[in-house]
Formats: sequence, C-alpha cells, structure tokens
Amino acid sequence: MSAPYCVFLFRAAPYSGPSAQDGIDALLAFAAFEQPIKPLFIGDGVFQLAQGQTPLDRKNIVKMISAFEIYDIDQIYVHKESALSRNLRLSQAIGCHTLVSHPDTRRLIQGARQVLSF
Amino acid sequence: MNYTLVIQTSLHCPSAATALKFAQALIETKHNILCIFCYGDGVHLANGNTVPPQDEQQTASNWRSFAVENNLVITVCIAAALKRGLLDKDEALRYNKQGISIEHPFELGGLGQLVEATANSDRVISF
Repeated sequence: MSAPYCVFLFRAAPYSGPSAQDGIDALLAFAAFEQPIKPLFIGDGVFQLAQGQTPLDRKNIVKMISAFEIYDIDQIYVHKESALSRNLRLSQAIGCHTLVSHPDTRRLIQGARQVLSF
Repeated sequence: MNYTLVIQTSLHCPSAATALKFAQALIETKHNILCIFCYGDGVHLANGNTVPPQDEQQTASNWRSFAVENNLVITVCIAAALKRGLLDKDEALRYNKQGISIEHPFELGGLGQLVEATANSDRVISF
C-alpha cells in the first residue's frame, strides 16, 4: 500500500522535561535523512500542540512542530481521546493534522516499520 | 533479529536496569544487538564517575560490564551528553573542561547513527 514509515510517539508535555525537545530533534534528524515519519501525539504529548505557548528562555515547541512541513512531514496525527479529555485548543500554527480515533491510532502504530517513543 | 535499543531514562529510573535485563535476554536468545543508543537523560548510563552506595543498584557499572563482556560499543548522543556535562577526553580538551566521564565501551556519536541503526534493525525498543 504505502511506503514503510516510522511512527514517532510524542507522549510528554512540552516543557516538563527534555523528552519533547529531544523527540523533535530526533525526528528532524530522521527527516534530514529522508526517512518517512508519521508523528503521533498522544497522552500528555498533545499539549505540545496547545495554543498560546509562551515559554520563557526556551525554544517554543509548537513553533518547531509547525516547521515540520519544511522537512516533508506534511501530516501530524493527534490521538483524539487524548485531546478531548484534556480539552485541548490546538495551535493555529501547526500544519495539516488528523485527529485519530483509538482504533485508527492502533492501526497507525501497527502499520509502522518502527516505533520510537519520546 | 537485529535490535536497536534507545535508552532515554536516567540511571535512577527502574527502566535503565530493565533495559539491561532486556539486552541480556537478547544475547541469551541469540538475537543481534545492532545498536544501543543513549539519548536524553539516558546518557547518564555512560558516566564512569558514578559512585552509588554499595547496597544500591550499580546500574552504570553493570551496563559497562555487560558491554565489555559482549564486545559491544554503546553510543551516546554527543549533544545530550555535552549539555549534561558528560565528556570524553576529546571533548574535555575541546571545551577546556576538567572532568572526563565517558570512556570505552561508551562512545560519543550523533543522531545520524540512530537513523542508520533504525533503518537496519528489525526492532527498535525505546526505554
């Protein structure tokens, strides 16, 4: 069907620790090597896409995510239940995104060649 | 099968020790460990200067022994290591720092190595 892809799971809140930034850095490294990637934001990871982030003295996570398109990552996936249960308002800055239901999330992960988790 | 292990948790998280048990099981079941990549807080695994109390887990030295016994090199992300103050001899010289904490069997490397290992592995397990 489609080309083999890696799923990058983003599970951490944006400024809670190093994981969110580290995950994005790793994703960009993979993208630079032209590896097909499907980023999936799940659990507290959906907060990385939240509207109105104004971090002090650190890199703005949502701005980095909005730059994914430059690296040919034209679709990001957001676990619907995680976003709804957190009453999340998605940032306007992020590009094409798909809210995926729980069964579709499972299919997305099962269809991946590799899964990396941050 | 070829495995890549990505370790991102610090020494004091149980998963640093679990990851070692997993790696040992891979060896015992005759799988091939293509790459062990320490990223984020996982770089602390490579710290040769840890001195845990005798009655506590000796995670860093257990990892070191495991790698030496099985002739493995553990790759440590250089960016993550530097910002946490973990340097090998070359980086300590380059940045004029006193402490050398990373030595064989740990080696500083880049995300490019993780990309290559992921491409050549059947399984990538994140800890």
